[in-house]
Amino acid sequence: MSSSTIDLLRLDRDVARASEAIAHFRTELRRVEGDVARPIADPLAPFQHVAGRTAYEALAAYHAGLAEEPIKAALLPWIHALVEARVGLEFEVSWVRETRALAGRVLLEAPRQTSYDEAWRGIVYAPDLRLRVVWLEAAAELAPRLAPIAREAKERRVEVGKRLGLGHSATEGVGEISSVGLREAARTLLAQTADLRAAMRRESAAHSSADTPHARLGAWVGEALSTDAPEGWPARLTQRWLEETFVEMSRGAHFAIELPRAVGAASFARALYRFGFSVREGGRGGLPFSVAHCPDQIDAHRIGFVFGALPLDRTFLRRVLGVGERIAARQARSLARTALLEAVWVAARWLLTSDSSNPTSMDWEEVTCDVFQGSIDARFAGSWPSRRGDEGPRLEALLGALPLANDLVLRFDQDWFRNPATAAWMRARAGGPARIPSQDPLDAVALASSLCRSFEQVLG
Amino acid sequence: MSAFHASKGVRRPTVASALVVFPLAFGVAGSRVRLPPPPAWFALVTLPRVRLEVDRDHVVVMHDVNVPRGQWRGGDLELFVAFGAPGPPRAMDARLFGGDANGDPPADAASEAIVLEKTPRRPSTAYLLLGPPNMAGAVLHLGQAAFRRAVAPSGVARIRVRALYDLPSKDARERREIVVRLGTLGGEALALERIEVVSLESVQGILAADARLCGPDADPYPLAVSGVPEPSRATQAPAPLAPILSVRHSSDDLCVRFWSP
Repeated sequence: MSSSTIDLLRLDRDVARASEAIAHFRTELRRVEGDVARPIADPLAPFQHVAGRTAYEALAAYHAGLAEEPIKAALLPWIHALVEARVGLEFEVSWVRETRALAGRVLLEAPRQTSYDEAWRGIVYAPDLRLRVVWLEAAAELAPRLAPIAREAKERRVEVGKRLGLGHSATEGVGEISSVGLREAARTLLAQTADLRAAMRRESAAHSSADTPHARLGAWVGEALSTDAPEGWPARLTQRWLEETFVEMSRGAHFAIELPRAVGAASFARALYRFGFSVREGGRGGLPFSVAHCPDQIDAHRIGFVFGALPLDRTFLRRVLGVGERIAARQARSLARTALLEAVWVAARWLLTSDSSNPTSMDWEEVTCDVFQGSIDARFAGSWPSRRGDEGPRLEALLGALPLANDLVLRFDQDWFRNPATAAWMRARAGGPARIPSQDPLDAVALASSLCRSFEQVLG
Repeated sequence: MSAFHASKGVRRPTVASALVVFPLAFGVAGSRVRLPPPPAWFALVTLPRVRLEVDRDHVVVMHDVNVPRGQWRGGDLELFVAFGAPGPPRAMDARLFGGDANGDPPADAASEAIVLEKTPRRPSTAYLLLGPPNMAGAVLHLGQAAFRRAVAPSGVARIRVRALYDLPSKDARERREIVVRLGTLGGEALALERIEVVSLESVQGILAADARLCGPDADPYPLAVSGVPEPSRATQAPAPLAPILSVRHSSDDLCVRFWSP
């Protein structure tokens, strides 16, 4: 790729194909049942010219004209992300192999072999705290095997960042809020919700009896599922319902929503989150791929959070799900509690997995102790929570979700989700560039404080 | 009309035809006629360039529109283009280019004239290309054979629509403003890649120019204009955004202001 003759639009098309190939590969990897024993072909092999250091350096040195500059600027993070994906591919596969391996035992009534992956599914889908604790013990037994993979994958990511002269990984420090700002916001979110979380814990029967590390974590998972809000949503947890309810918003978009299995009302909120995410990512606008999409997907996460918060809204519960006023109030409170736990977890997850914050085992202990209000099993350190790569973007999106939700109410009224004008506005946003500059510089701590205040208003 | 070639489909308007056009442009638009929705586009149409060529007494507004073949399976095409503001153009033409999808056609590129027909509003069978459907405008009649020829090399046809307007009068701050239709109200917003403002006069034709999207949902950022210097702005004001990075709403138009001596 000579720096004097780079066809940016051709490069953009190749980046789009490479991105699709890696997304398809990851979907397939997730769907593989049982052990991933057979060799897996490198999905980026045909795309070396957009997934290598040479490509990055040639593009960075290319003198683009005024019209080409935005495309060049949008392509660079993509090439970084693809290099990182290519280098980290073997660890992704190793991680999946290790988490699917039947290397542990779960002490159910009939003890049997289990995998780390299955153990976590067991934790989420367990009908009561006692079984959840059993599955947690199986997961904790297997967790230390994963820590070396996570550690090595991180070393490679850091190395890629250094070699490209960037000093950060592909999805960190790339949004409008710097890593320092995100760290301060995450700490603020933990600190300013501590009293509220403690008060909620006192209200919870499961929490008050949880006196072991596994019981504490198990009770937290149970609370986060919102199993006490069963009205109105279970029959609506389908892609068809989502597309019919938001018919104008869905027009022309390409959706591929993986809906969660129904466990509690949190599953419904998660489905709405994924729908909002898909509305943004599936938008059509005729822009070059790299301008219309960015590897961090911050705006898609932001819209996801706005949709995911809809079940907290009594207007939505009454008008769309058709539940009565009293039930709507009760369910909204239950889901607000889930949303608080989720918000705190998004912040904590970033603190625990960020390459830039480089957390030590003491940091892990401190943050998990804060989130779960007591220590959890130390065998999870270094492998749980696992890094998904979207922690930074999700935290930034979370901080920007409340202003976006308020903006929607200001523009289109309280029931914006039913307003056809919202659909046109949302389609325009979805079809537009991935990066939407804020009118004012973002103050991450102020955004975090504002989010904490809104939780206090709903739950306090 | 040195920079302008009138097509056979558009005649220079007489006083009588202007009297017809003005009520159509303003009266009908105000009467809120409900039109059937336009046919759904068979492809993602984009606006790679909007160019203003300013001369001593007129301005030519040029839209370059890329229409990919997409799901088109055949048939003649009718495309509706609404007039801009401050009023209907003095003359208008449209040409069809084929070839390279990535760059502007060279000056000597082969092209075909597209027949134009004035209309008080979008006919029900016409695709909505530019501007609101219930305003006066022109319908571009694009024959099946011509479109097929244009999309054959790269899968994308370039349509160039040019409209000649009188130079708008200056406002109190010595600016001239022209509204360029972008939106396809009721349809999808077209991605805009580049705005150019050039002077056809050799010396000091335009001192500065700026552009922004205008409409009820328009984003507030100024857009980068190539070809002329940007006007001086306050240090707090946001820097112009490349048009390709702007969020386009279907109700947006493009308001271009320029300072000329």
